[in-house]
Amino acid sequence: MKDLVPLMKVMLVEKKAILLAILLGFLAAISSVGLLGTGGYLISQAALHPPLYTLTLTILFVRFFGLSRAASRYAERYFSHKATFTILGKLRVYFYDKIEPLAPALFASYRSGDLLSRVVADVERLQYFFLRVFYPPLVMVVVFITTSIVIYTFSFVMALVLLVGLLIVGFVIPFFFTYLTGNSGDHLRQKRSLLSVEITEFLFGFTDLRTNQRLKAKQAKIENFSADLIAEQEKDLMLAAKGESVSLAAAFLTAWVMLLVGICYVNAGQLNGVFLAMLVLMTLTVFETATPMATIPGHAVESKAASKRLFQLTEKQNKVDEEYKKIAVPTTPVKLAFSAVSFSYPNMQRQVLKEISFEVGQNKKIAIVGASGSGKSSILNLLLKFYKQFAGEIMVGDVPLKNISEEDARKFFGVVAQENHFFNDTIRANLLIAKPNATDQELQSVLKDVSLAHFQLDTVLSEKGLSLSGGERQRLAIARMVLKDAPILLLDEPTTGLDSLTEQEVLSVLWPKMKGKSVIYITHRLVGLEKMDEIIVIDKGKLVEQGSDKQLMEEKGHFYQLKQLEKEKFDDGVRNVF
Amino acid sequence: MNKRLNQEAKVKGKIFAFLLTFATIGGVLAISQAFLIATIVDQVFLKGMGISDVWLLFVMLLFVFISRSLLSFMTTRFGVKVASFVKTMLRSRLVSKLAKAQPSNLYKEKTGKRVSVLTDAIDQLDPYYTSFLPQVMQAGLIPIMILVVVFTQNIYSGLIMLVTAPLIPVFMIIIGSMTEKKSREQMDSMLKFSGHFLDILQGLPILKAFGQSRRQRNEIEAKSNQFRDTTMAVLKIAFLSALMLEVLATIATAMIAVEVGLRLVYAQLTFHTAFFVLLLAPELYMPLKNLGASFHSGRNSIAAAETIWEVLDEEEHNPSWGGKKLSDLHRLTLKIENVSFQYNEEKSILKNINLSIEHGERVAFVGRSGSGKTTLLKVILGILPPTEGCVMVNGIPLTELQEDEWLNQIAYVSQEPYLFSGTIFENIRIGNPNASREEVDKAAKEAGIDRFVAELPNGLDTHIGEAGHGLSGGEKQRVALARAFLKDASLILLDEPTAGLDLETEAYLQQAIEKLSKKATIITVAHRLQTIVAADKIVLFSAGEIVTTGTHEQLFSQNELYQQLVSNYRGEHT
Repeated sequence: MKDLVPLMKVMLVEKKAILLAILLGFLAAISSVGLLGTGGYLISQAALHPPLYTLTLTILFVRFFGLSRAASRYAERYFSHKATFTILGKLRVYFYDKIEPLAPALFASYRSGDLLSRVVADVERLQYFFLRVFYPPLVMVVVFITTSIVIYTFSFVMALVLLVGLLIVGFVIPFFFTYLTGNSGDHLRQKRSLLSVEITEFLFGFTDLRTNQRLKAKQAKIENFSADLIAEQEKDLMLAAKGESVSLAAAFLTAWVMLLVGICYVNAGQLNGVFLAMLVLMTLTVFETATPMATIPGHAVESKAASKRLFQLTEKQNKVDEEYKKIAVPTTPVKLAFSAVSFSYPNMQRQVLKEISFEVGQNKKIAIVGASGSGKSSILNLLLKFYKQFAGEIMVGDVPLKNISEEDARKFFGVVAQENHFFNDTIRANLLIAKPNATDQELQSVLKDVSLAHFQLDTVLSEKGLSLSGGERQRLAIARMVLKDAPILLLDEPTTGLDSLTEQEVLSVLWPKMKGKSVIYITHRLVGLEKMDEIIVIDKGKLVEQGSDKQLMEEKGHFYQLKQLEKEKFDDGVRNVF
Repeated sequence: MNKRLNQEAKVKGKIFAFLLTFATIGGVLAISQAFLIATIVDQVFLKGMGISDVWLLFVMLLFVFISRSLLSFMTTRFGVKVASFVKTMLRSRLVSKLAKAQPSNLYKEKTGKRVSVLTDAIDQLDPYYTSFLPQVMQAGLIPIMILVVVFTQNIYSGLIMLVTAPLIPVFMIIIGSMTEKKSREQMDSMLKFSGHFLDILQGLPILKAFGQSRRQRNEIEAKSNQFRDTTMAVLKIAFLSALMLEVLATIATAMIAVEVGLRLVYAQLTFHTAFFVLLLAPELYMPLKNLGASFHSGRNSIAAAETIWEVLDEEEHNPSWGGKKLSDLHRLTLKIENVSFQYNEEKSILKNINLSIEHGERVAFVGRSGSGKTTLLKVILGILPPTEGCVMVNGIPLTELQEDEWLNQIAYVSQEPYLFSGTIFENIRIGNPNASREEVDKAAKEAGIDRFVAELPNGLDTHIGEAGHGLSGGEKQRVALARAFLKDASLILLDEPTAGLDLETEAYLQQAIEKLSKKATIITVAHRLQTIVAADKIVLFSAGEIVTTGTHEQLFSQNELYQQLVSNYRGEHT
């Protein structure tokens, strides 16, 4: 239950809607009970052949309950769904608030990119917590108590029987089956993920498996895991089916005992026989509200697991206590200095930066080069404060980066990365991220500036901007950088993955934007580096060389060798020239 | 209902016969229950009998109650068993289909979808068998049984039911055609909205870099609520239809109650009959309402099944194999004769390729991306069956060779070899499962893995995550090369990396390839001038055709395309 407390808190913000839905659910259920109860009473009364007018009131009640059941069920559905969707919205915002501070460090620390899809699916699952777990017992309790009170006016013992039946069907059985279900949710998930890993390997590693003749072994493994999973699922479904039929049996048994007690009372003359049919029908109907209780264990376990995962994720925030200095919004470049910075990503054993020291003077342009995987990009991650724990010191102007708040720190930098995220939204919306108050005119002129004048601001980009070509995406990213107009530019492999013609186009758009700014240009391509004031060569996290393009070429060291190597390579870009 | 899903389950036995039997028993039990209750109440209330007179009926009622709950369990149990059977069989069929050939390897994005077909889609079949199918049977049978019984008791109540009960399926069909489509569209856009939420989460780094992440939360709430309101507008109508159903069932029940009540007053009916009919009324509508409830999950299952059929029905282009053995395993001569390849109806990737490769030759495939180099490598490997022509090995067509024997001779090192979760040691040993620790160590050393492994906490026994997470592309290639050493292959197919590797990895790769080429024929999709110059035979590709073959000197002096190519990357890089 502990895992669900934070969820309840979020949900209970919608108190009013929840109360309304419960009230309507109660009305619908009690109308059902009333309809059949009064129906039973009506025919019992009629069997005594009284004058017709004595039946009028009962007939009226029968009709009233018939209509009120239909109407309240409709309203109940409407409001409970509305409440559910509102809760979903609140949950999204709640988790957004929790996850926002963790990005992107959180994303990197997990195995695959499916973390986020899982978050979204979990949030989605939790929206039904209200409809399937929270709401049915409440409605049921209110309905049973009301019905018991009505029955109490006829017989105390029968009311007691009903309440005991409620206790058993509504609580004892669900709790018992929740207990039996135990960790089966975890088992199921575990088995499913085992299978899913095997299948992923089977499909993505197909060629390697095949050439090494391991397909058959893999196939056998998949069949094994599949059998395991299906057996577990079967166990789960069987248990649920057992729960349902045990509930059903208990409900029937209650009705049976009610009938028995009723007959004894009639025989003893303590109950008018005219009410017997009514009481039996009410009992049979009232258990309809208890039917959803049987599925509660399954849903509860699922919600609990989803909630646990989500809250565990957000609990991971290890707070770094830092005292932030208030700083003025920068308009001109300041000096950046790294001194003996070492860094490794959380949960990774390898150090990606080892005692790196260098400076970027005002308006200076430096390139950081090295092989892919040499740790260059972590420099950007540190500057943007995506990761905060590192050894050594980074100075921004004369303030340590540690003492600048995340938001302030990011104001210094304009970023173009290798892969820039674009939202599945209009081009305008994608640009306004960089400058929320920009006018359409301003946006259009910036688009023109990056040779994208043909773009319409209202065009909706497809998911991740995949409808654009690689070059267009990079130029759009440059447009965002220009709009932000930050004093220091961080360019992280902005042309990687582009062919050389496109690379040229992008670079020719990019170079002029560097005027009057400090620049850190991270790249493993060694093109056009003579334009930079200084080149820093990083190899396996260590700074191995530092100097201008000319100096480094003359020294014939690491940089020279890299350059030779690059010259020796056909890469796809070069081949596109002819 | 879905014919094919029923068909798949039929292998298990006559499921319809079973389910219909279950439904019939259910109907009989429901009617018996109503009859017993009506009789007991009648006898006690009007005939003044005591508990000792009706005890037998009481015991029978208890029996009926228990049977009904047992039957509900049995029905689900049967459905679960059928579902398990179908799921096992379908997954196994999908896997063996995909294991035979995977032309979709050419299209990476398809592979991701396949994973979800093999996992999620199959899991989603449960509700079809456990609830949807039994409920279809119950809804088709039980109301009719009850109607028949009611008609024998009281024609007027029977008529009320006869008029109202069929209206429920009719209403369902109307809902089906009118509101369902709309509400489904809306549900789709709800899903899309989830996609939007995902999009924002994925874009968080960018939002943060631009200082916009806080502002976005309001956007999420606004959009959520907006979606809620449009959804509710649609659901309002969908619920209205459900309301009509509800009204119909309740009004009918109320009408029956009043009707039998009034007849009772005028003594046209006995109390017993009246009560019996009133008890039967909810039993009549119950299965119809239940069906409506499980309709949605049934349709989800059917939609999931569609994705499964799609894969199963895909046309097969499987490479075929025979039983012939090679006479000389360590001397391979390859002859590629008139090989063309195209995937489905798309434009051809290889056109009429002719090429012969002698034992021990070093061959370099050169050309721009998309010119067919890697495809030809895969044809030689035997993964892609050529649309036309054939590959001859020592004079025997590849399709007549034993698959295992052929693969035993080959090592394939792709640009990004796939590493399996497990240790590096295990990953190397995939090359030869019978290899000893020493042999693996030796292969690792030859591929130059020992150097980077030394930095890892457990050396070769370090666990690597799914898909070799945590290793760079060059390191993965070195692992794949170690597999090649371990295998002692006589043909090596290598896709040289284009990514920027560090100097050390470059050097190691080079050394390893050098060593391998002493023992084996080696075909490289080449990106390095060194490799190309050192090759015995350079094959120049353009648009799926071989332009020319020859040594570096020959091509350089004769072929303009090749000259351009070489001078282009000897000179400045742009």
